[in-house]
Amino acid sequence: MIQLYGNETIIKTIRRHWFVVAIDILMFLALALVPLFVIMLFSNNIIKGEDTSHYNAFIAFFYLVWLELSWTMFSVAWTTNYYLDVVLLTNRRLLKIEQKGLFARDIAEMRLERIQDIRVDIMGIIPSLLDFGTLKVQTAGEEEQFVIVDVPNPNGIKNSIFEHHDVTPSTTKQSI
Amino acid sequence: MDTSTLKLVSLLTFVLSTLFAFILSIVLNYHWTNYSINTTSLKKIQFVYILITSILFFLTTALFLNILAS
Repeated sequence: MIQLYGNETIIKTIRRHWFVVAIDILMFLALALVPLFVIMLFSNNIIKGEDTSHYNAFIAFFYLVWLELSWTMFSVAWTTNYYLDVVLLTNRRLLKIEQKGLFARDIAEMRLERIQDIRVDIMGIIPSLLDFGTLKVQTAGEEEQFVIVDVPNPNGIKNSIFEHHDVTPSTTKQSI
Repeated sequence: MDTSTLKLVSLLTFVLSTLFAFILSIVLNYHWTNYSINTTSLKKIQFVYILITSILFFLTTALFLNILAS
């Protein structure tokens, strides 16, 4: 659970671009379909002429188990790589929540007023066409930078961060 | 491989895969419930996951019982 301060509101919830998720889905679809091709190959070429009808129920059963396991593993991958990997932009902080596997979770935060520089890297044809890339957020001092990969519309997010960076509550407080 | 050996392998596969899917479902549900940011999409995710898992489990069980009966 993420604890927000009293006057803190979530402005943007940022997850990976859909293209990265689509690649994952395609990979798991391919994984789910591989046994079908193997079964077709076996039934057409290797045991030609032999009656295999009594094995059909077993083949169907093992294939269904394979589908069930593929579906479970896809759900785990989707949850850990996409759904729970999230960056929150609030009016005070930038929170990076990273789910590392099922049993490890890393939460890092950066106060907006400490942000000094944001770099946007969009590398390659597909990221350029679909407008997704890497955001590198740097604070003052020797703190490590935030690297947020595969975010959609990185320039828009960069602008949003700077927009709220200029009106963070603490900045307002200091100027009064 | 003879049919009785295949039946034994099927039984082991069914028990282990069901156990595996059941434990991971509990873990996933725990993560979704405790760490989700958007709770409106959470209900949809849980519904889709439970629906597909139930269909697959129902079909697997039906085939497994069919194998045992044959």
